[in-house]
Amino acid sequence: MKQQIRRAARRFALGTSGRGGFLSKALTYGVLVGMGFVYLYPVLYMVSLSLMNSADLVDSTVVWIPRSISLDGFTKAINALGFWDGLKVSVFLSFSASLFQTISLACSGYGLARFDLPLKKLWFALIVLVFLIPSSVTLIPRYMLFNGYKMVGTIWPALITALGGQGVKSSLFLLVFYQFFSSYPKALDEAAMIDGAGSLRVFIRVAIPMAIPAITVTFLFSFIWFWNETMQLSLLSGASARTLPIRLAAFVDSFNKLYPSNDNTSVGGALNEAIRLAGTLLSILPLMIIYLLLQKTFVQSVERTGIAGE
Amino acid sequence: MRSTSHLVRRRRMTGLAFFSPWLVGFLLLTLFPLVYSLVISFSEVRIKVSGTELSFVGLSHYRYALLQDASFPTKLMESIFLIATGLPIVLVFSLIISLLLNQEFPGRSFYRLVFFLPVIIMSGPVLTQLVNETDAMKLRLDSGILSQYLRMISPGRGQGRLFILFMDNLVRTLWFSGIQILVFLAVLQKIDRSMYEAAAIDGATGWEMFWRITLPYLRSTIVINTIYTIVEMGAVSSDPTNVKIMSHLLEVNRPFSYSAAMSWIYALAQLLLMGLATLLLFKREGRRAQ
Repeated sequence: MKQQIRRAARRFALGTSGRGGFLSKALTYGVLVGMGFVYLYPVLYMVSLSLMNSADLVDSTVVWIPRSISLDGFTKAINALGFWDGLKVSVFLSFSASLFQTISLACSGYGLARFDLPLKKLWFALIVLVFLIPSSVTLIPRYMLFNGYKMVGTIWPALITALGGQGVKSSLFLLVFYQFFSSYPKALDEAAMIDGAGSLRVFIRVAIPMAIPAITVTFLFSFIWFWNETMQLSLLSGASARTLPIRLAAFVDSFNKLYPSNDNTSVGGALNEAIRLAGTLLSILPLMIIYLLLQKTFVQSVERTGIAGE
Repeated sequence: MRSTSHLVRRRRMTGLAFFSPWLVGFLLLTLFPLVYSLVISFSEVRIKVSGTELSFVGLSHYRYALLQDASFPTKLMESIFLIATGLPIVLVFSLIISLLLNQEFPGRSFYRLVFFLPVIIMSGPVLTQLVNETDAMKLRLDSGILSQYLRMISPGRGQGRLFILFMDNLVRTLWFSGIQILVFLAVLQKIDRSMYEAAAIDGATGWEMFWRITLPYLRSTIVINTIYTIVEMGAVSSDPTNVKIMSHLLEVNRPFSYSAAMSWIYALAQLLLMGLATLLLFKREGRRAQ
């Protein structure tokens, strides 16, 4: 009897060979909840503080939950950011740039995968090289190049970079396309060719449908990464592409211009942490909404396309 | 005979035509800038109405950056410190999380959602706001046993400064693990279950299985994640060295060239880190294989 109880307890705590027991489950949840909290801390902090009024901010007895919910920070942040304009610019720019990048990388990946290109090994080495080189190295000559064509200060540098397949982490997507286009039998192409289809037709009708997951992952992640890219954009496109992240970087200046205050310590008008965090939250809000709507696509696409790189 | 070789050549040209968007983009937007930035980093640049003039000045920009500039060496050390300490944290953290997420349990997809979130929302300006301008990334460690302990093990002022930098950036560092977690997870799911079953029949514990089956299987993935982490951390625009490089870009008396020199120093440092980390990982692996 005693032994039976002991065995049952053991099975409960440590589990059988088939499934983990209570202890391992508790440990899993414990670590995940703890790590998840640390991980989400900045987001929770943002949401909590951005809803506080200035009295709650300085009151040390108010932790996490504001005494009264104040949307004042958000109203001011929306004005200082020029949120709606920024949203329009961000959506337009990210959408068109990732569209261009997806099209050009799909073509290039197809060419690399389905044809006997000369110097194939060299191209692969260069694709990896492009990934490894920090963008700050190529930034300055790119500036001079686009400056020479009078394109600095327009959105063209971003779009041309996308069209040339040299955007953020584009090498990864090119390799994903390569992998997808290499994986289906050559006979499919040949059958279509015999039926009299030209190369472009084969590409559109046969190859593209095979690579829908690659197209999805490229477009989605390009969208996110073009949205968050600021280093090249702020230098090359300047005032013509004031996306939300770029507006956030200039938040302090635009806030002070909009709400001038004589002393920075005043409680009423001055920029406080709540307004800053409201601005930050607003600049990432569109991405968070997209993420929540398309969460499965995001996570699964990384798994399915094997960015893992085997 | 002639017609086949003609066909082969034609097919090759078609292939090149498909490949050309990337190729042209590479030549124009990466290769040319790469060479040109190397050239201007060794030159003095003068901007005139007729165009830019270059005159060779050798290593003087590099020497200035490393020996005379008051802040560049510090910023560079800070960046390297952040990457070098962040790298093992990111790797171990993403491995642990992916091992946990590889089990079946309710709420699994929610946690996957949480740990991938930073990939979506992270950008230079957001990190600047959260790390430098507000306290959003700083876990409160003022009180409690942990902070007492930490204070005890971090004597000296120089060490203390790095330590504070490390603690202030801990959450920021963890935020760089989103993609790596999913990459580990994708590879973990491909491991053949029967290997574990066979090992279990032979009486191996979970701990042994992790070291003997899982970890060797993940070797190349670890290397890939290492390189990815370094690239990602070095590219973010709020990185101290990147901020410094950008701030000197349009300097009046030496436009472009000084920034170019600094960016090459930083790029070499990153490549060196990648090489070092890869070497370290492979060396350890070699020892185990013997």
